[in-house]
Amino acid sequence: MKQILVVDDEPVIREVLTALFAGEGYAVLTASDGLAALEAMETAAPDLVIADIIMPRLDGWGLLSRLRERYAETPVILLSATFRGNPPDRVVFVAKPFDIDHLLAVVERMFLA
Amino acid sequence: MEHGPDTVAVFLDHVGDGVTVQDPSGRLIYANAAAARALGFSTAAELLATPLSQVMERFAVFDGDGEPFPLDRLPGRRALRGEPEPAVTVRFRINDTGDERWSVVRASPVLDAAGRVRFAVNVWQDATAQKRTEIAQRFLAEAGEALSASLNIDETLANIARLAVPRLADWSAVHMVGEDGAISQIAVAHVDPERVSWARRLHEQYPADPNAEQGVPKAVRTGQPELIPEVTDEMLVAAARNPEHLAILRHLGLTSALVVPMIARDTAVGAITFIAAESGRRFDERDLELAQELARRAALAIENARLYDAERAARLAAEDAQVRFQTLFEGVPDAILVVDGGGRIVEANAAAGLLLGYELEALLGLPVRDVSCASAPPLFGNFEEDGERRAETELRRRDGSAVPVEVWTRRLDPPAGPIGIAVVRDITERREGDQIREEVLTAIAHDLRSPLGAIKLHAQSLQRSLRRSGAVDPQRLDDGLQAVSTMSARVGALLEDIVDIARDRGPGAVPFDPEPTDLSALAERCAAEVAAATSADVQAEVAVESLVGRWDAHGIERVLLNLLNNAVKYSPAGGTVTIRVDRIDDATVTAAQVVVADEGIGIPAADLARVFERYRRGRNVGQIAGTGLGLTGAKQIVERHGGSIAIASEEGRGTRVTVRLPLEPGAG
Repeated sequence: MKQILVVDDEPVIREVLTALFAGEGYAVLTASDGLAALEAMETAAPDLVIADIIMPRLDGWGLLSRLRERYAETPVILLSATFRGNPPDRVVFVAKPFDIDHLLAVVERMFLA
Repeated sequence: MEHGPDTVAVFLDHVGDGVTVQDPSGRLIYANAAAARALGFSTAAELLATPLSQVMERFAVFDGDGEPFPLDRLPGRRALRGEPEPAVTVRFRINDTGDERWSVVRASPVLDAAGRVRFAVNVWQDATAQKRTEIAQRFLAEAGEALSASLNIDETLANIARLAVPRLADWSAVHMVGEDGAISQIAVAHVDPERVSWARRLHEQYPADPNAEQGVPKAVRTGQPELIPEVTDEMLVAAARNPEHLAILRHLGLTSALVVPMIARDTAVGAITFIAAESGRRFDERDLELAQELARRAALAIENARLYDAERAARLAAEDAQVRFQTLFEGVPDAILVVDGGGRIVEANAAAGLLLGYELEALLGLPVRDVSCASAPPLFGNFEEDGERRAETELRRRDGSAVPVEVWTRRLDPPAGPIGIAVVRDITERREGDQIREEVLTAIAHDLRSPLGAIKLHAQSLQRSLRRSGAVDPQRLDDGLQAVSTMSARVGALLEDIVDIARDRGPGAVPFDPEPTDLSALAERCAAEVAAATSADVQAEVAVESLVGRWDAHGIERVLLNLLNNAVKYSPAGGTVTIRVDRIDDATVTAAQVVVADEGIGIPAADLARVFERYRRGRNVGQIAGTGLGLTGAKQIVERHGGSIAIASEEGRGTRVTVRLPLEPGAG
């Protein structure tokens, strides 16, 4: 069973994504910001990280650079309303507000790759 | 060769001067032809045949000042008395004709062998022409003085009329032509002041007919003088308007009249009238000449006075315009700069000095580029081509700082050379306002995106489950619908904020319905709601289980939610948010108190005073979204309850907001 780490400061987003991915047969972990996500990475090895950009303490960009230091191979989906430039390797940008089918398709494609 | 007395008499008849000889009794025993004529007789014989008393009745003698001259002071009488006999200058008036003559009278005694006076020989030298010239010159000199003494036209003309009486005439009047062509009497003079006021009334009663065939109207109309040596009764009949008027005119006993127009720049501006009555004087060509000269000078004086008046009026108007302009120029709140063709500031108002941080004197003469920002568009675009232009740019203050301005510029081309005028308005506040609004709307848009996204996610997620398996787990359905409901409420609240911003009013503009409300229960519910929505650590501490007052439950709930959400929002690193409810019941106050405290970023001391202002937020908010409306609304709602709200904060340590709501004594 593939494991996904959902990082978002909005409880609602965490809840709905958890329900969604669980329904699709994924195991789901959540964290409320970048630092909490790094803590979770200490004890778990998710196959995919889905993170919001704007978060307190450590935002999405900060989390990405920290992940690249220790977990270079872990694919990351960044959620944001606005993006500048092209995403780095093994990173996909998904624009908010996103469509569930589109998000699920991106997730599946990333696991296939 | 010898000649008898008759031969001498023939010689003397050819002498132009009058020669008379009196015997010691004063009787005339000889007169030549000139003497006879001078005294109004056709021949010497006629004169000698007339008794002296009758001769003396024919004329009157006056001295140089116009006073009656005592006859026994004539040199002949003195010579007969053996007194010294200095020459005298006297004026005769022949009573019948009104004819006046001046004579220098000399006399010398003829003595017998015993030294007794036998005869007095009088020589009457005619000095009329010389005297008249002298009088005329003196009069003109005095008139000139009077004319130049005042620049007030009416006063000047009154002086002229006064000067003429009684030396030139018994009556004198000055008429002026008004702008409408009407003729009005400006001045009238007579030796008797009572007659003057009477004449004024007469003029008011019978104003001059501008079309009259005589007098002032005619002189004004034709520009020609009119000399009436002898006023006849026919003339009075012709001039009279009615029998009463005629009676008055006849009563005046007019003997002679003279009207001269005053002509300035080829136009008759008025006329001077001289009238003889009591004196019996007859005006002649010489009087006319004098009067015309006087009129010419008076016209010149009138012209000067009018020019002076016009110039003075123009000057006053200019001064007035200058004052009004200055008031306006300094009174406008906008800065005004006037720049010459060389790009130097030549005029600036006080507002310009204030805006740019210069003393006004320092601003004048300054090149306009010194107040321009290199990075911003110039104040005047292309000065050579620009007509009127409106633009937004920045100007540089004396201290180097930039000030955003809206400018209206225009090139003008007065004769002295082209100038540019700039009306400059400081738009710092507007820019700030625009920026704040933009930030607020961006923040609201951001705030809207999350709940809307969440609603969409829940809906899509539930729909996906339903399609996949034909049913949804009831618990999951319930959770999802609850979440949709909560998010919808958040969207609704944000939309209310947007409406408030659009109407530029605070969120307090909502219905106000005080009803029994339990503050403790409300605080606990709000704490739970915020904790659930944010996963923050929110603790409610209620000192009394139930604290009921008459408050607007919806409004107070909004206040508490706002304070709690703020506390959570501005605690990005977490920490505990507490809401504490107390009852304050001391000597001075009975109130319900709510304190919301957090351990967040706090508010910089400099911003603390302004956090209750709309759109105002602390400078340390960073990326934390917000409208800056929350506290403004909270304050309005609290104050509407007669309560108070206070904020204490320390940057980096946290914020503590205290709300007090009035509580009726004994309530709760």
